[in-house]
Amino acid sequence: MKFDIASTGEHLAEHSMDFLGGSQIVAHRYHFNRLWDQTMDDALGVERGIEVRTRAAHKAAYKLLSGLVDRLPPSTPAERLGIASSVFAAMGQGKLELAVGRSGGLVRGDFLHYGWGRGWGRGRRGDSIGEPRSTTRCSGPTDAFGAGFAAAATEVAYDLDPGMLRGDEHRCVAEGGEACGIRVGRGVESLLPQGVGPDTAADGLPPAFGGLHEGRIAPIVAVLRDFLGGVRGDDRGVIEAFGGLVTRHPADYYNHVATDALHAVERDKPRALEAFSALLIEAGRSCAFHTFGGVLASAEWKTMVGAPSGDPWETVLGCLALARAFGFGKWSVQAYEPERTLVLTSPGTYETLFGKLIGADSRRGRLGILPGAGVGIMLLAHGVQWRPRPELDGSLYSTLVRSSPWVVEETRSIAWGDSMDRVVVTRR
Amino acid sequence: MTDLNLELEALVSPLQSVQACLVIDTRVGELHLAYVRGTMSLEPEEAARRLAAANRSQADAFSGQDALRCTIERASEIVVLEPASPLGLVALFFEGGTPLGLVRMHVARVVSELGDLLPRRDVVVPPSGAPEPALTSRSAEGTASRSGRKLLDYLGAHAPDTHAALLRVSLQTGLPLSRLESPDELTSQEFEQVAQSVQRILGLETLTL
Repeated sequence: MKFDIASTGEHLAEHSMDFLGGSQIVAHRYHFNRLWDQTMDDALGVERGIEVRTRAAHKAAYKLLSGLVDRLPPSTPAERLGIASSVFAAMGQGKLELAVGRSGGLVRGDFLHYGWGRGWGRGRRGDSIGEPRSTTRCSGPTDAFGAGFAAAATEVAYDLDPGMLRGDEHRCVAEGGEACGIRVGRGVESLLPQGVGPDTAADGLPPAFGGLHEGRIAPIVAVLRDFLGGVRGDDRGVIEAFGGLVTRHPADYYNHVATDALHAVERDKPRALEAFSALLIEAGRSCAFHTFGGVLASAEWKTMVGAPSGDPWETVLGCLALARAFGFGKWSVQAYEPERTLVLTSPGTYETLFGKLIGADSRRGRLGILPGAGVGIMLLAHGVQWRPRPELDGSLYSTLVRSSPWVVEETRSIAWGDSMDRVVVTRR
Repeated sequence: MTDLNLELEALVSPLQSVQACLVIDTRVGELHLAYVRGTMSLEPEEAARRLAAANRSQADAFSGQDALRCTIERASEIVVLEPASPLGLVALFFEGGTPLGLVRMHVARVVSELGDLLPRRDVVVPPSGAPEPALTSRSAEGTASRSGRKLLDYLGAHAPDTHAALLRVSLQTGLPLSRLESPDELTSQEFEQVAQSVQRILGLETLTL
């Protein structure tokens, strides 16, 4: 059974946000996901990191799947399990075989994004972008998202409350196994699957607004959305696009993980908060460089939009179109002076909206996607030679970052009660 | 093309008689890295799978030994399969008619220089050719000034994402960045924390202090 996210989901067009089963979903490439995991594991330790990520996935997946089941005709547990594995595959997360009953069971995972994705791109010729090799020691299972999702899928299938079960990955291809194995068993804590939905988003966001050159961004967004609407996991549950591995996740997943990690750092390592914030921004910067840059340099972009000319304005606007098409929010240019400054605004991103509605004020100054991407966009606009086609690899990124003149300040955020998100990138 | 494939290309492409080099991960029997000059009749991935399977069959036929060295001679090419590590099998494709002495010499050279390009048990990018950090010892209660600086210099030289390395140490250890920017003042306990963090970031089993 193939699940069609585009026809089942909801699109809040004025805010460039997407929802499935009443949960906000966003697209990210493997590179960002790996870096995200790495940062959370640095903050929490690997063991606790897996635990926190699994719980976040469990909560987010429960909200998404229960919302989806509520929106579909009545179904049996077997049918619900089928829906869950189809949704998982359609999101580019891999294949789950859910051999589970009311009290749990065993789940086989093939091509799971986090474990299998580690080896993807190695040994492929002609793969100019690829996914950079993992730099985190693989000392245990890595597919926390799959484990949490499997537990939630079982609970939703059998009308159980969230937290009655739990998922643990006991075997992972990243450790050399043939397939991943997840054990779903009795849970140890009840969970509150909070998250952002289309109604709360519409109520919580300020009126939408645009910025400079909206007329140039909108057509690119339309083309990208049309393309992405047709993109779903293949028979393996894998989305290979734009020279990398692409997934969709519930935005709540990233936000729950970051919020829990932040609380742990505040409690256990308060002197490392500066580093934690900087690494969240690094994730955003790296996302812009590798994801947006990778897409701009891809064959798909060349076909849909045309090969990048290297004009900085074109690069900036292309990146904003991508952010919107990926569901990050309606990012706009308020001001841009090439080589000098970039001011980005948005009525809300998937991070700040969660911060406003659920995370309260606790994440003030601890949000990374918009500020980090602002710097990453300037690296792409002013540090990359777009002709001939560039090699946007880790080596170029490190070189550009080490000599980067850009600093960013987050001047406004709806998460703090402001009427918009705003970041300013300037030369140091 | 990935950085590692580029490294393989740099190693193999100067050897004019070598038409292709495949590094195969024997755990999964699949391609790990590839360099192909021109085209191959099979996709490198498929060729790797077939060669790995054939090598396994031969190994089974010879009392279940691990991967075997094997030379296949055809009119159009000479293919040498050479176990290069417990996890890595190398397949080198030479032009047909290449003298076998030259073939053996090239195989030996490539295998001896593959080093970090071979599959590993973990997925860490190890510091290629990195020397062991020469760190001075310190007294139990004293500071570790020279050691701390050398340790962080070593990290800076070999970390996979150099620009983020110090941030990661801070987050892993809980030490503030300002403290790490003055490694001369690390206490022994802090030094131990930093050393463990460096070890984890670099994926080193041991760090000789």
